[in-house]
Amino acid sequence: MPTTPERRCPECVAAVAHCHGTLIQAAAPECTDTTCADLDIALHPLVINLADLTPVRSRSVA
Amino acid sequence: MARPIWHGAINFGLVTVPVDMFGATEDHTVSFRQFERGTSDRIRYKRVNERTGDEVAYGDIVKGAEVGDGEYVIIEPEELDQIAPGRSRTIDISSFVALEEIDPIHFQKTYWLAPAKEEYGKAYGLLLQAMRKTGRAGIANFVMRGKEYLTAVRAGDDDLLLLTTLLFAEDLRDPAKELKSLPEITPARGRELDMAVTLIDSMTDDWTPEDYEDTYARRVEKLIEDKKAGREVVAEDAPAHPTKVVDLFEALSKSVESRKRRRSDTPSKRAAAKPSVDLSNLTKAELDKMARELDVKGRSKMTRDQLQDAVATASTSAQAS
Repeated sequence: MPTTPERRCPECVAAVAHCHGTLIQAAAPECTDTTCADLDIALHPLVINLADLTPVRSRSVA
Repeated sequence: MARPIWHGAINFGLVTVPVDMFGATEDHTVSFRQFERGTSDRIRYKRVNERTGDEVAYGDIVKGAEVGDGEYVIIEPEELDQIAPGRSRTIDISSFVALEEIDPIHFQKTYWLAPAKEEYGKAYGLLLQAMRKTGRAGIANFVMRGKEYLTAVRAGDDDLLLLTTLLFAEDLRDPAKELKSLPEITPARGRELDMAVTLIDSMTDDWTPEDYEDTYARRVEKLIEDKKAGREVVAEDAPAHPTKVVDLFEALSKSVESRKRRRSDTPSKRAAAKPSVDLSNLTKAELDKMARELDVKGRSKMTRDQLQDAVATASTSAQAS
């Protein structure tokens, strides 16, 4: 449920192959998008390490 | 038909060639989905706002960098592009090196670079042929999707430029810091070392990737088929036991004998001498393969032209012997 006006994805505009899922980097990488067919990091603007998935509540944002 | 993963240009001196980048490799292994045991319920990932629990759309996700004490600085994609003007649109070749100089520990993933339009083919072809002739790879940096890549660009065998991403030196771990202890290498005893070298020599072969198959993936596929058909799953043999130190020489000797028997009917290196082949039409990789078969010394440091001369000389010698 987006709370901000929809942003045009620049990768979609440029017609380049990419994935809107988040690549989870681990020994066996995974993607949050179940339709993702290529776990290449280069295709993923959003990448996170498995170790960083532990919820940590941020105190403030600059 | 594959879609490019990046549009940009390759810069080589004052020459700029617009190119599209495509993935040159793909994973062939079985892709598993996740389920909760005892159910047929799929496990899915949801990206949610940690406070509200609401799912967040792709376009609303921004990156935040932790600056200490749980504080984050939020960075928009445009801000990342602005700090590297041009870098996200060009692959700038800064130097050329012999590919053999790059330790394979740096190699990551390989992509094709194709001219973006037919009209750029001439400049593209010039760069490709010059790289092929020198046997050198162009080292270049560029930025893609908020990440800088160190890359080696080289001429491939399919008349395409290949771009391989490389790990930066700072990405390599120091084993002295990471491992509990480093192995203590004691000088090997003469006859054991000689026998081990003989074994390596007897196992030395040409690199033909087609000869190697992912047998584990085949077994996984068979396991899936067997389970689907309700067949019994048979366990494979246990792995070999470590060789006792006292048996080392004997084990090496038996291995060498076994290799010799297996190789007794393999063709001699004279087969590599092909006087009818026009060497000037061969690529550097093809010449390198012939040079290996002919045991040409120092071939890894040779340019394409030097390889051609060395192969011609070695071929003549092999035919005469």
